[in-house]
Amino acid sequence: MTQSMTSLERTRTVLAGGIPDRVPVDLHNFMMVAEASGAPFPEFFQDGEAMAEGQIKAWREFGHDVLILENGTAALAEACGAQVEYMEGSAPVCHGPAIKSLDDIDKLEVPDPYKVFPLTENLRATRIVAQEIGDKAFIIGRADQGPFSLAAMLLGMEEFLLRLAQADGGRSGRRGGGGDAELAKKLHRLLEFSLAVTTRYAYAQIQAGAHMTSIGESLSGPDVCSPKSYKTFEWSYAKRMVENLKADNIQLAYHICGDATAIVPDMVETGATILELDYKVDMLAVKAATRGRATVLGPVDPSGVLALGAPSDVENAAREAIEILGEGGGLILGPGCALPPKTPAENVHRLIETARKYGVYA
Amino acid sequence: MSEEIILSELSQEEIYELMKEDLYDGLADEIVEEVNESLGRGQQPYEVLTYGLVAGMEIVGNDFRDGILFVPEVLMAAKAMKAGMAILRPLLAETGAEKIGSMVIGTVKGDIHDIGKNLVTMMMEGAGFEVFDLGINNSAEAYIEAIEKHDADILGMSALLTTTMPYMKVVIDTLKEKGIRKNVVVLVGGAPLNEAFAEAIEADAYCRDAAVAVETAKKFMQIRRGVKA
Ligand code: B1M
Repeated sequence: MTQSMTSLERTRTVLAGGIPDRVPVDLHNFMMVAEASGAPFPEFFQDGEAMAEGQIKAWREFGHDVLILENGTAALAEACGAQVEYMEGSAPVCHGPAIKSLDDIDKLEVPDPYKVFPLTENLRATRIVAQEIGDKAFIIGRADQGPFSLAAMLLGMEEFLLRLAQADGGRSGRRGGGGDAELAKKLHRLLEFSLAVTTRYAYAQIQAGAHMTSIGESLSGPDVCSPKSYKTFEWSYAKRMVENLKADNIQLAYHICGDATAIVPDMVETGATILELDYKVDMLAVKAATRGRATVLGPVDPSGVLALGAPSDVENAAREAIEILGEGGGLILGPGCALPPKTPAENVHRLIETARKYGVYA
Repeated sequence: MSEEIILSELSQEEIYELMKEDLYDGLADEIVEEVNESLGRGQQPYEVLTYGLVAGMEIVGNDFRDGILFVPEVLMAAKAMKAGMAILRPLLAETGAEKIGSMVIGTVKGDIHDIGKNLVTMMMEGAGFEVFDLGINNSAEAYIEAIEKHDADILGMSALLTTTMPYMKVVIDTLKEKGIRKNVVVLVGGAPLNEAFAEAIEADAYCRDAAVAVETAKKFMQIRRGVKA
């Protein structure tokens, strides 16, 4: 009775604004999968076949409805020429820019996802997973980082943020506080380039068989940037990406972790189908803003609760989320960000059991 | 454009007020002018540092803590402060002004999140500390080598991942093994930490944000001075 739909039906029903048999569950488990493989992380995250195998194995073990496929947050940056380090025991990270200054934007080239590493390997993973279980589970092939976060990595994160503040202008207003229009223009050119990169990769993820794609834009969230900067330098790019993809019937999930509460109404306005939100958000405010307009994916704490908590903590957090965010549909239950490598399987099982037990719609 | 402000027409007090605002707005060129104007009027370097830059960064730190300013704005303020410091630092050294204290800081092994650590570094420098920034991904050996080399008063460690924060205990245990734990104040910070964790690993204090880091460091330096005197 509780399980009258398949994972695909269940997820699609929620995304369409309907009410499924129960709340679907996603895992954001690429690091858990790496840990379980026993292979060194650097090797694993550069091997599409291994990543696919690991994801399929995890799906057979846990039976979650939605898979998110990625190898961290640095794939597009690496493909564009930034320096990336593949670390042991963690996700690959970007630690050197692709361009020395905003005057070098013209030196950048949009990478061909079918030719340039590591996009090729990520797409290989998506293709295999889609072939093997794409008729049963819902697959989100992440198009890595969105325009804002990618631009930051290409220029160097601190340099980018500093330029952003400069372009925006001062706050006290004593000296006019006008900002630097020339600089703003250059930043927008870089964002424009990044939008092209991530959009192209998004299409490739869908062609590889993903049901949907996703971008991460945590850096633009209120834990780092002001809602004003978000609106000026991120929002319209995300909105355009959503619109471009929608024109081709492709749906986008939009990830901003940390406490995004202040910008959730703006995130909804982009038209993104899913908002991936973290445990720090105010769930009541999020429900009010998303009801009937977007599906929330999250918001269980991946570290404090899922990795370090007891199964009962997982159950409590999941029940609270189901009660508030799952009311009348609109929720895919899961961690609001990446699960740490050593997240106990017991806790993941409990997350899914909780949805089966308490996430059932009458 | 900006309203025309003629520095020479302002009183020194007004210039200090203006410095606070320009620091808040991250205007490096203006800060440089104001520092030079103040020095030209016979203000002592430490006065310019204290009433202009440090006072200004304190406002920046508080507004960051209160969610009024965000990371980009603080980075820009810190850059303006650095421009002012570049003029004052050699003068401060010449006049033999006493340093508040020194700190070695870095993110722990496995952790590359350095935005928060960089802000702490800048605010500490803004408050007059001498800071040796080891960057990211530091082993216990790297921290200890730097502490010994610079005879640092304070060790600051930063971790943003639940998987890397336990390494802070490894560092503290190594300090103990080497018998040098008591020579240095250990301050820890980073989003997933809390007071209980800091206590459990026997750090001296947990710092919720950069402003708290500065306050805490100052407090410990007073205690240290007391002990040394
Ligand atoms: C005296 O000593 C002191 C005193 C005070 C100290 C101190 C030291 N250190 C800090 N403080 C204190 O003062 C500072 C100023 O007030 C404060 O510093 P904070 O650092 O707390 O605050 C900063 C000013 C602003 N905050 C930040 O800079 C962090 C922002 C978020 C978005 C974030 C970012 C930007 C990044 N990330 Co990462 N990232 C997230 C963050 C999510 C979020 N929205 O918060 C977080 C921290 N990341 C996370 C993860 C999982 C990861 N990240 C990763 C990578 C990255 C980027 C490279 C993309 C980028 C880092 C860029 C850089 N150069 O730093 C990966 C790991 C990399 C690694 N090995 O370290 C990766 C594993 C993700 C992946 N999918 O690849 C999560 C950690 C979860 C956990 N608790 O374990 C995370 C909370 C996101 C989430 N919601 O789950 C205080 O804590």
